[in-house]
Amino acid sequence: MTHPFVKAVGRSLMNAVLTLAVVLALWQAVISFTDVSPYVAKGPQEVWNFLFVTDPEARSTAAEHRDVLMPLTVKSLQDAALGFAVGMVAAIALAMSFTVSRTVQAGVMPLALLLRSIPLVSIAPVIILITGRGTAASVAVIGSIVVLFPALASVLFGLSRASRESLDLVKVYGGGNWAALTKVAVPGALPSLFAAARVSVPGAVTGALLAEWLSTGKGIGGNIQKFNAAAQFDNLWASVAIITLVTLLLYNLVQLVENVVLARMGMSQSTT
Amino acid sequence: MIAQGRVPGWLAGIIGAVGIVLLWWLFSATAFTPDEGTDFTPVPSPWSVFGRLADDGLSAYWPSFEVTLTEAGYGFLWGNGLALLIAATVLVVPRLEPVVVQVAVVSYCLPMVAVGGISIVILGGATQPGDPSKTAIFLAALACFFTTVVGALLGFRAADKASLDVIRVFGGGRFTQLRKVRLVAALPAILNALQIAVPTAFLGAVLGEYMGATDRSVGITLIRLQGNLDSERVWVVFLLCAVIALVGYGVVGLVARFVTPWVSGREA
Repeated sequence: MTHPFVKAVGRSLMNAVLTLAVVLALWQAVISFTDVSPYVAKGPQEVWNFLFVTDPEARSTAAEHRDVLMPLTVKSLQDAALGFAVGMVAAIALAMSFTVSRTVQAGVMPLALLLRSIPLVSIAPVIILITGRGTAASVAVIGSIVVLFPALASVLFGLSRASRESLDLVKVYGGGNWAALTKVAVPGALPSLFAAARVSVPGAVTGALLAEWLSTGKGIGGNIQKFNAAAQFDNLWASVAIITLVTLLLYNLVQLVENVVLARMGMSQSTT
Repeated sequence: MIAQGRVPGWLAGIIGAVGIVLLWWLFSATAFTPDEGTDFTPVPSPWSVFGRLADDGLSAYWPSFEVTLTEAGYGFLWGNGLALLIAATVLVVPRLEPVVVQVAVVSYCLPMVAVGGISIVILGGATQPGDPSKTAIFLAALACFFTTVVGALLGFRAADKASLDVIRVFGGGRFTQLRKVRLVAALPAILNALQIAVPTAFLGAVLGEYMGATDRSVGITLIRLQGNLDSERVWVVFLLCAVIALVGYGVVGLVARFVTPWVSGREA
């Protein structure tokens, strides 16, 4: 009975293991085959030892290393969550309000597509000028701006694909624009919504690190330069590994929720 | 979407642009009042920014943009080239597809800022003032890798089954299938991915420049101007960045339309 299910789980597990192996091999290959001093370049083994294995002769223990990096990671994730939440809520609210009026939508849709293609993170200095250096607002604005415009374009697109017949049905039974939106367009836009959320996860992390680095000086982003200046390359590589791993897990978590919800709603699974 | 009397796209775009400038103006006029004794405001009015641009002239900004555009260009070529190559392995070994996707996702989850920190130590920046920064090139390549892999895979899957069968029936092998059907079917998705890669490559280049080790570039110019509280010029550079990203995006879009004229009614 569970045979196909077990097979599917087994296959995705095998893919995950294979991917991990490929990524670690690539990492090791970059370290081994490029002409970089081992003082600067750290391989997977060294990062693992740094975080989990205490060398009796070393000056600091693995637990101490973890104690340095854990609070920074938590701080960065909080910053990323702030940007992600603000950006997604703003994108959904804007998209819904735009969709209620067709005229507004016709004006906004090209603009959203246009704004999506401006690399807004690259002008973080402008945002910091507006919000002030080191403020929580700068983190929220930089993080949410990375999330907002791609998500807005995607959600608008999803809402605009609502089935005409269903919309007509709502209208025939006396429903207004709002009823059409909540009963037809929003459920129909779920695949786009999930795709937007999934793709926004790494974006929010990038935005948070950038904000921390250029503005607040806290978290992983704020400490990259310090690690560099103090030649703490173990910390540097370990923080890249931790952030990548956490982001990857979050990304796959959203994908899992997406697959379950869409499957329950009887919608075909969207492509990557 | 099929509303009657719909505003044509270009007109809506112009209305949108005018709307944005008006919003900006309102924002600059109302949101901030300069502190006593200074005339610093983080959001200068559109007129003062355009006036500043007219006074300085484009040539004052070109040297920085020249470097950044070079970096973005190299990064674009490297990132998309590798992405297409890796996506193409799926054509040879279809079973690799999930792994290729996951590796691309891992590359997408890499924290650009932290990777930049490593890259600035390993690859370094510009060797001489005016040279492109290697870190910026690397980050530009990294930034556009994921979307192109996904776009190309999507394209390779788009091949029409019946057309593939026709080729097989007429005695064509896998290579003929690839050449005559798969690549043609994949073109729209690949070109779409390349279009999105233009602004992201630019973004990656600017992020790489924030890492330092360049003397002349958009990123370092922005940081310097911000340090000097020269908000008018910061806004000028920001606007030029936006214009360049949009022009690049538009040009690739036009090329795509020219190369694949059978794709019509696409929203872009």
